Amino acid sequence: MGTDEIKLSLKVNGSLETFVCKQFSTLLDALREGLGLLGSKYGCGIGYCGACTVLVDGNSAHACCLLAETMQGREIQTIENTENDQIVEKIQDYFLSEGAVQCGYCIPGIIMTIRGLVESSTERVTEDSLREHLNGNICRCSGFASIVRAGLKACNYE
Amino acid sequence: MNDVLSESRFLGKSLERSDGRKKVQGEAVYLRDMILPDLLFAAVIRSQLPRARVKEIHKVAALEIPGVIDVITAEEVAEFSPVSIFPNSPKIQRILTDTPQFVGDAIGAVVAESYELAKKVAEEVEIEMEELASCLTTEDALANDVVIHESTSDNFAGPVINHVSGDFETSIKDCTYVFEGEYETQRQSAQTIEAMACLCDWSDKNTLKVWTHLDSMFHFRDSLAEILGINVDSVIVEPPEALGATFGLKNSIIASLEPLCAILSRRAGRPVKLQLTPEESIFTTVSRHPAKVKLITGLDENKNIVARSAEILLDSGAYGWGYVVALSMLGKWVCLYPCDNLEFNATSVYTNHISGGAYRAVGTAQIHFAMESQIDEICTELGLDPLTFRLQNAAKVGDELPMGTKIRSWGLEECLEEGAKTFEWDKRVDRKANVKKNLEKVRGTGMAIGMHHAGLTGLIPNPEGSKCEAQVIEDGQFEFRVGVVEKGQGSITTLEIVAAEVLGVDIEKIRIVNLGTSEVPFDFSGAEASRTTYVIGRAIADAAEKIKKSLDLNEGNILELIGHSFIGEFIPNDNDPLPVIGAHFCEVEVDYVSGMVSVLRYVAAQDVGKVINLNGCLGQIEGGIHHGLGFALIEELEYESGFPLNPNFMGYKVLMASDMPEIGVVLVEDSDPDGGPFGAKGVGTPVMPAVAPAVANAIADAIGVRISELPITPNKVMNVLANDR
Repeated sequence: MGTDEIKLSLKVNGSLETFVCKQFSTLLDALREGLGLLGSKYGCGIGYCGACTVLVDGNSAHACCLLAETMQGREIQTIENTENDQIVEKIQDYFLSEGAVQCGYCIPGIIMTIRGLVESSTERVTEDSLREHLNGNICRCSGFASIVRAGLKACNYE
Repeated sequence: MNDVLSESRFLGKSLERSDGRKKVQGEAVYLRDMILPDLLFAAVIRSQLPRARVKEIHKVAALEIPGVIDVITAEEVAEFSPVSIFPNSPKIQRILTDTPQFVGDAIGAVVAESYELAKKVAEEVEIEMEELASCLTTEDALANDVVIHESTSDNFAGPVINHVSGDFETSIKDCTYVFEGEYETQRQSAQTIEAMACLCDWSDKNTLKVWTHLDSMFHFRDSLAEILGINVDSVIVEPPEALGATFGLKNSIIASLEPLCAILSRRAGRPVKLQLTPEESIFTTVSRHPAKVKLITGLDENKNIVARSAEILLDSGAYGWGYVVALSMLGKWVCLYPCDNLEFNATSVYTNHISGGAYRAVGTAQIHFAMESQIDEICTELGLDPLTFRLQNAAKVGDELPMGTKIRSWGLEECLEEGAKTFEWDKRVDRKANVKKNLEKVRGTGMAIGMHHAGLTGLIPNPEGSKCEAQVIEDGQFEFRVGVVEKGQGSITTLEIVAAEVLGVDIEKIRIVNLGTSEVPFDFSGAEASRTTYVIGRAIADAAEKIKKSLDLNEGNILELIGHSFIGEFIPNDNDPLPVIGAHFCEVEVDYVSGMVSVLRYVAAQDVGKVINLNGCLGQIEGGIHHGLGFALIEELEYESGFPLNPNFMGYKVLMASDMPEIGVVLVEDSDPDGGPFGAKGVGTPVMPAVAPAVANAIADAIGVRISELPITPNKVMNVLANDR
């Protein structure tokens, strides 16, 4: 371990992972470089595009703007957690059937954002509330139309 | 083909895309995710000045830093001659330059064991520069007091494009009604979510392997071979497993990306990755060419257009190719409203800004904003119905395209009718009676038509055409090898449908292979200019028909065909690319207090010829409207004194989910008998041109004042309202 490196213990997708990463790593760098979880994407790096969105204790968050060190003890969920999360699987299915996936670079982040909404919403998700919730994610391919169609179906799936 | 059509199983249906599952699970590997054993990382040393001469880059000190492998500047790549990135444009672009021409121009490169180190050294290396006088406006450039490039005698970015037919000067004097208008469009960035990158492996001196963001594998391969002075067969260009969408931004190589990365790999004898930051991806690649357009249009007493002129000035930035943009503008300008007396003059100049380049609807987006804004002004002024006036004056089946091809298919009437019906155009309120300045928010409706083309026939020196190598493989699957580039648009699914439909087999039996230039037949233009469905689709259909014929002959014995090769080919017979038309309608709300414009409703009727891949069609149209509305309202890469003001995602705003209206898509199928497979046309680019004028027309309807400069920001709205009061 170099002088500019630290040892981290992060609870990711249900298991506690201990690994070495650079000091002041963002959560995104820790996931991608420290743990090799490449599903969370690096987009703008400054918290505007949402391609890096993961869940922290069930709430969607931009992993590029969180310091990995401060995430110790929190529950991190990434797109790779499919097998343990039927809601994510449902969202994925609707994204495919509605044609909401084009280049796909923003999609893991958008799916995690919608997953966070399902977790936190107590009322039926409306088109307006879904669009509002998606304002931390940019998709340059779809104009958001198919994403909203897929997301609404997934959010209100009984 | 008609027999197949009547019993089609997949045409026009929504099918799950074959790369979709991996993408939603986060398993698809993008360029950003790609690493190779022994990989090194490169970063570019960039000019911090709009125009300068590099006196010294202190390489030696940088090279002494542990982990730094290589530092090069212009002198290490001086052996490579300057090149033209677009065919026939002036040879001005170098891999690295010692006279940078815009903030961000590449003056050196660092290779290191880690990305962070390469980046840090590239940013911190000591540089001595001498600032030179710059040209920051098109007017400065025209004055020629400062000639930007050493190798050119003036600042013209290629030839001036002129077109004259009939006698405009005389006929305009005889017109009953004459309209003059000036329109201006901005520097728009594709702002891709995945930043541009390139990975090159030239560790084997005989073979250069390249993975990069691209529209066409072979265009890139040939350009690279030319720049590097090597044989095309020693270059293999491969698309990464998944490509972040680029919207035309990477229709050509960028000298400081692929060629630079290749040279760095050869020098190091190891693979090298050159990953741009999101900021570099915005302000050091290319942008849409800004345009100033002056239009004069004359009508006779029957309100028929009889004389038109256009005077255009394009900003090509440091190394752009505005004259090609002008040619693209001319094509649509001449065709959309045909008349006998035409005068067109377009000049393009270099300035010390980011280069102009390709971006969804090159030239077409700019010229349509001007043309369709003016048509709306004419209709408003003369009290004419904007749909009827357009139908009366716009191109019709049988009219000639610029290089003589007659229009065979043109679903304009149906686009107007069906679009208007879906939008409920007839029920719109007459705003003139309704606009009261004391209202806080006013609504308005607007519409526009938009013409673009599919394919590049006659537009570039390279031949337009596609080939496909097909065979039946051992498990009874049909494999089609083509030079298609899937960057998200859904082309693989579309081509699977074409093959399955022609062969009459299940879609699972079809495999489209697009592995790289060493694996598929030559196809110069790949996914440029919305040509995939049209040109590559026809090549696939041709191969599938040949397989079908053989199957019919041997009574369907598939196994007998294993190992046989079937070559499909399509070279368009036309002299022009395939024309595509659409009609768009929108309703906006303008806030008189803030100047904010919200788009409330949007309907796009596009003549796609034939729907092959329904999800693909919808995705391209809805996505194109996002780029178009951004062009209309918000997107601009701004500069002050040659310095970019907003080169990142915080500064360069695009429309977000809640800014986007509900979009109604009307798919018109006026199939072209000699167009794409089953009469299909192109869709990705043709959706773009009508959007900005439709919005501008709706805003003019709402506030009663025309804004003729994009983007129509709250500031501009407030300014015209203040002047109007």
